[in-house]
Amino acid sequence: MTALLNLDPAFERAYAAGLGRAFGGALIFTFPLLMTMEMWAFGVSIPPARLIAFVLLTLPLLYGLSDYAGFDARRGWRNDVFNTLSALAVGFVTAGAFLALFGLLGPEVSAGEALGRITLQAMPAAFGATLARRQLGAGADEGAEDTAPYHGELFLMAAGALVLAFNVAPTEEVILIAYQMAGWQILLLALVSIGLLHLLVFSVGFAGQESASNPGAALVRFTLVGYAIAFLVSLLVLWVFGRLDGQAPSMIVSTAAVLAFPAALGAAVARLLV
Amino acid sequence: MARKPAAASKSPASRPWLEWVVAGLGLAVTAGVLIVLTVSALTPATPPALSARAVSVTPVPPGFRVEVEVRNTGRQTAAAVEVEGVLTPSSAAPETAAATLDYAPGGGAETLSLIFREDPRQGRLDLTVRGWSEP
Repeated sequence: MTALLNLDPAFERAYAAGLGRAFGGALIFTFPLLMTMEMWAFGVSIPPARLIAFVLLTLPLLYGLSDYAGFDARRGWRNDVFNTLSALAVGFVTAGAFLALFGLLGPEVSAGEALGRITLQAMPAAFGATLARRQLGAGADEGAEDTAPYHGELFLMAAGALVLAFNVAPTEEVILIAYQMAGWQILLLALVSIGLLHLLVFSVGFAGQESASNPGAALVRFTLVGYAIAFLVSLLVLWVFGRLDGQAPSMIVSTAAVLAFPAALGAAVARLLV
Repeated sequence: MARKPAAASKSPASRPWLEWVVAGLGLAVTAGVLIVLTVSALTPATPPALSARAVSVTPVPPGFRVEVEVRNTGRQTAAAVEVEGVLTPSSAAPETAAATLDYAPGGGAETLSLIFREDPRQGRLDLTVRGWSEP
């Protein structure tokens, strides 16, 4: 236990700087959620069982993301656990602090409501905290980026999809758009989403873009898989917000395809930024 | 305490004290939240049970403001709760005022205001919750 007594100020400061970046990331990715009244309402009305399921389903995703883009350069499962727990702490503190600041946890709000509100916002904030490492970071160890494992890229796309899907899903426009679109428009939207995901990551020339040695393989391995991930993430997010309850399968697919469009953009953004 | 050697970092092979604190906080908060939510999920959910009662009467320029407390003793949340108050004064025609609450959370109370021309303290005021919807 002597390490605990020998505080190295520079060592602590370096970690504190990473923590600051994590708070920044949590805020930047989730301030729209913190300022959306539907999120506050869902926080209150979401059934506890569903909120538990949501937390349990996103925890492994957060762990996988920490493995690839966690907020320090060290590797190994212990570091990933620490990074995941730290991201959760940052997420809860950020969500709690700002919801309290905005008067949403005030004296007339019961403890159960407050807990629901904070938890629903804390999970996306935890993702933002983890994504912040590369985007805002001092880049302690860049070597691992070029040889990122395939599953790391998938977790990254899932995280980007989740954060952007969360930003769009709470409001009614997603289902309204799905109601307005004809079947062929939904299909076209799906194709456009896939195309954009491919182009943004591989072809158009953004900084941070990757060059695919074999575009065909890249299409199948990354883009199609990425869209599938975006679609599944969209289903998850819609289910959390109760938008799938009692809906016909065709409506479920249409609504998920509409939300998969920003989710696919999120997946592309995550790979470009991180 | 097991330590993970940091292959690529220049710092000693241990964690900053701050990291233990933050990770511990994350573990405590997440575990705590899951436990509370599980307890809440295992308690059977009862449908909304709404009641309204007058808390105070204040004179205001148009007449009188009645502050109404709407309490939901069920565990589920009700949305678009309509509350109607009918004031039957001793010497005039009955007066009706209504207002709607966006949400009445389970186990909580919300307040709204109804405005009447006549004094609600001199007459009979009936407050009823007329209906609500699922959030």
